[in-house]
Amino acid sequence: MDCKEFREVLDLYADGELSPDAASAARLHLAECAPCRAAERELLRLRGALKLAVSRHEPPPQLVSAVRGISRHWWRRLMCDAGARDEPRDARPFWRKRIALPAPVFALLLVALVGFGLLSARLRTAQPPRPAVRSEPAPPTPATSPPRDASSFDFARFDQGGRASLYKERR
Amino acid sequence: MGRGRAGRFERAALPHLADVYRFARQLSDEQRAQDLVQETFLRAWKYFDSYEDGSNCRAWLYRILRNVWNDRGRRQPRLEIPLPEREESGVEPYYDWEGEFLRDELSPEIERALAQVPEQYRWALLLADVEELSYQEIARVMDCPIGTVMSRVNRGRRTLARLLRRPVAGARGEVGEAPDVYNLGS
Repeated sequence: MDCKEFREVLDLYADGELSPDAASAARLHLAECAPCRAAERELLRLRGALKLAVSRHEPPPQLVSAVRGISRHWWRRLMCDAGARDEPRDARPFWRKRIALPAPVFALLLVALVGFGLLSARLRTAQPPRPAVRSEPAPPTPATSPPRDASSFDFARFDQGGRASLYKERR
Repeated sequence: MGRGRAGRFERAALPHLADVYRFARQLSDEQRAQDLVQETFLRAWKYFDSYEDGSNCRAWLYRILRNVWNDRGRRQPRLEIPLPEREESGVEPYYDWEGEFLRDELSPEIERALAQVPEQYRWALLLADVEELSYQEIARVMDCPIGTVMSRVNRGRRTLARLLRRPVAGARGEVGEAPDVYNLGS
């Protein structure tokens, strides 16, 4: 390899893109050619200076937190998953659209729904317990019957417990 | 998706945030660089299922950045002097980098010169020299053949060196001229 050939492949050599054979030939030439060594050195210095210049910039904190929030906050994830700005707009009416929910949100809704159902069913069955006396069927009293005298009224027919006897005693 | 996906995303993509921002900063000003980076990571999150574990996530992110840039960034390009985009079929063969003009304190000058390198060359230059991606990866990012990558890297370096070689105002106000790096000594 001579100088002209080496300069033609200098970029590839510096970037590690030469084949093993060509890289060996380039190294052999470099070992015996000072100007080409200087050329390679300057190319590497250019690369170093470029890296140094670019590395001066640090991402501002608000950008870091915004980017970190993309995967951390579920609402950002939802926005990102659902609202693709670059996707073609769906022309279907909303009642024909498929509503896609992320799995955790779907699971949460499902649990909430089942929980609500169980709770309402339990509330319906768990009525406050009636007193035992009320559960007994009381003989119907005709609404048209004339009011009877309290002294002749037999309360024991309606209440055979303590209240009836107490009432009798009071009388 | 779920915490597992978020965790994988945080482990694979977020460590490259600073690199992507620095890259974007060479394409546009600070505010627009932030917009570019945020949009890049939003899309990365959205399409994260298409990322293959173990592959070069940085190259994948640069490909997304490239798409975002194509969609949005080009509408308001950063200061760029019109240099003729010559045919890119071949590599310019004979050049030399000899010169002492590359000093560390010249970072602002290097950035100014880089801003004037044509966009395609700038991308190739940054991907090759700063990000150290392989030509194959650069070809995927830039969606072009490897031969075009070789040409763009080569021309990008030559253009940057040429711009740096222009008369520049020194730190004390004097105007000097950097050595001609294209004069082959041999």
